[in-house]
Amino acid sequence: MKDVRTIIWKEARALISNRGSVFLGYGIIMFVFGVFILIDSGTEIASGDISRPLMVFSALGVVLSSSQTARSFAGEREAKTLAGLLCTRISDRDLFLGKTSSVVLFTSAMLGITGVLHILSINLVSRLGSGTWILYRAQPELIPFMFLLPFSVVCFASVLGVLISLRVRSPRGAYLLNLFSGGPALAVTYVVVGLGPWGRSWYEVLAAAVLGFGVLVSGFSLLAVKRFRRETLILGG
Amino acid sequence: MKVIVCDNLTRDFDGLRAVDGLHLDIEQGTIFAFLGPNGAGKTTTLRLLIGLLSPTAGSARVLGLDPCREGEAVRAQIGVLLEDPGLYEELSAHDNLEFYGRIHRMEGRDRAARIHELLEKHGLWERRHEKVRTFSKGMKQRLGLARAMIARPRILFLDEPTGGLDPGATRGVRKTILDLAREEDITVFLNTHNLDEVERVSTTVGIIKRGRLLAFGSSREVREHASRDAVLIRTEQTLPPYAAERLGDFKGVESVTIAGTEIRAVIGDGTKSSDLVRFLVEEGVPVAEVREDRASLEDVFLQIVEEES
Repeated sequence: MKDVRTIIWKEARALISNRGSVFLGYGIIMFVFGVFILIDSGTEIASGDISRPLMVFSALGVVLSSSQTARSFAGEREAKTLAGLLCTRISDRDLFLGKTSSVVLFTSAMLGITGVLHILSINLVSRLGSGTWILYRAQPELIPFMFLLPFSVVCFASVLGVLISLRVRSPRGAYLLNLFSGGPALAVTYVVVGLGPWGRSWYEVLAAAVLGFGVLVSGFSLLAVKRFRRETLILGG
Repeated sequence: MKVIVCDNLTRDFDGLRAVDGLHLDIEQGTIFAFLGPNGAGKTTTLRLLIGLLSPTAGSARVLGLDPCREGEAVRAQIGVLLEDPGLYEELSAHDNLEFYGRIHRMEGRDRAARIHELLEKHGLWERRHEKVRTFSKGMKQRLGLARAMIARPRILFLDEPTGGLDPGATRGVRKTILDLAREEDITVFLNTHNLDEVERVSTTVGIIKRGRLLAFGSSREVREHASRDAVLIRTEQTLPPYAAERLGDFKGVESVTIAGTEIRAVIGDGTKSSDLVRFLVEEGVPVAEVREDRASLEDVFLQIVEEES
C-alpha cells in the first residue's frame, strides 16, 4: 500500500502544481453540474425524489474521471515518463491501484465539492424565493446515496478507464474511449433510479446498486492487474 | 564478481531477431560500453537485463537474479536512465527525486539527505524548486542521472545518455558518469553509438550488430584484436604513378591510400615499415617521416561492422 500512496502523492503534486488550469477547467464543469442543471430540482429532492441529482452526479463522476484516467497511463506514455516509472521496483499491482485510486480520490473530492455547492445554491435560491431553507428532511436515509451511488459509478468508470488507458497511445483517444465506456455505468444508474424502485424501497434498490457496482469494480480490478503487462506497455502497444 | 551474465540471450519480435545468442560477462565496477549502430539490439538487450522484456531463448542473470522472474528485485538494485530522461515536467526537480526516492522506499531522513547530495553534486540545488519544464536538455539529463542514482544502485543502465546534447552538456554528463563510477563504485552499462564517448568513458567494450556480439574486451584489446597494423609515410615529393602501382603490389601490403605526399599502408604479419621505406628510397622518393598509425576505435568499429555486412 505504501507504493499506492506514493503514486497518489505524485498525482496530487502534479494537480497542485497545475492548480490554476485544473480548477478553472473543473470549476466550470462543477458549476454547470452542481448549480446550473440542479438548481430547479431542489424542492423535488426535499420531497424525496432524488433520481435527478443521482443521475446528474453520476454523469458528473464519469466526465470528471474520464479526463483523469486518460491522463494516467496514456498521458504518462505521451509525456515519456512511463518508461522511467516501469524501470523502477514498483509492482504491477501497486502501479495500477495507485493510478486508479488517484482518479477515484480526485473525482470523489470534486463530487463532494460539487455536492456542497449544490446544497448551498438550492438553499440560497429557496431562501431568496420563498424565504425557507431546504435541508433534505424528507428521506434522510437516502442522503448517503447522493454520494455513494455516484462514487460507485466513478470507481467503475475509473477502473475501466485506467484499463483502457493502458492500451491507448494518446490521452485524447483514451478520454473519448473513457467517455464512451462510462455509458454502461450510466445506463445501469438510469435503470435503477429512472425506472425503479419496482415495488421495493428506494433504500434497498440503491443499496443493491452500490453493492453491484462494488462487485463489478473488484472483478475488473482483478482482471486488470492480472492482464497488466510491462512488456506491452514498454513496447507501446 | 560477475554482476551481469548473459547466456545465449535471444529475443525475437514478430519473426525478426533483435538479440541473437548473446553471451556477456561483466565484472563489478566495470564501465561497459555497448556499441552498435541504430537498431543493433542495444536497447532490447538493456530491456531484457532489467526485466522489461522476457527472452525468446537463453537467459540472463543480473546481480545473481533472473530479471525475467525476479524483475522487481533486480530493479530495486539498479538505476536506469533512458535517452529521454522521462522526468515529470510539471513537478520540481526536488519533487521528481522525492517521488523516485519514495518509490524505492527510502526512509525520510536518508531520502532528504540523498536528494540534497545529488542535487548539489549535479549543480541543481539552487533550482530545486523550479519546474523541470524550465530546465535545459543538459540539466534534465543531469537530473535524470541523479534520479537513476537516488537509491544508490549497484548497476547503472544508461541508454544513449548524451543523445541530442550539445558538446558542453555531453562533457558534463560524461564527467558525471565517471565521477559516479569512481565515487560510488558502481557498474555502468552504457548503450551508445558515440565512439568518442566509448573511448573517454569505458573500461570494457562490446560491439553489437543485428543482435550479435562481434567483439568484446577492453577498448585496447578490441583494437588490437580487430585492426591490422598500418604505417603512415610522409614523402618529400608526390609518388610517381608507376611507384604507387608497385607499392600496391608490394608483398605483405594489404592496402594503400595515397593523399598527396601522405601514404597510409596497411601491412600484414611479417612485413616491416622499414621494407617500405627502403622500397621508396630505391624508387627515388625521399622519405620525410615514418610513423606507426594505430587504428582508432572508430576504425575498428567500422571495420568490424563492415566485415559483418
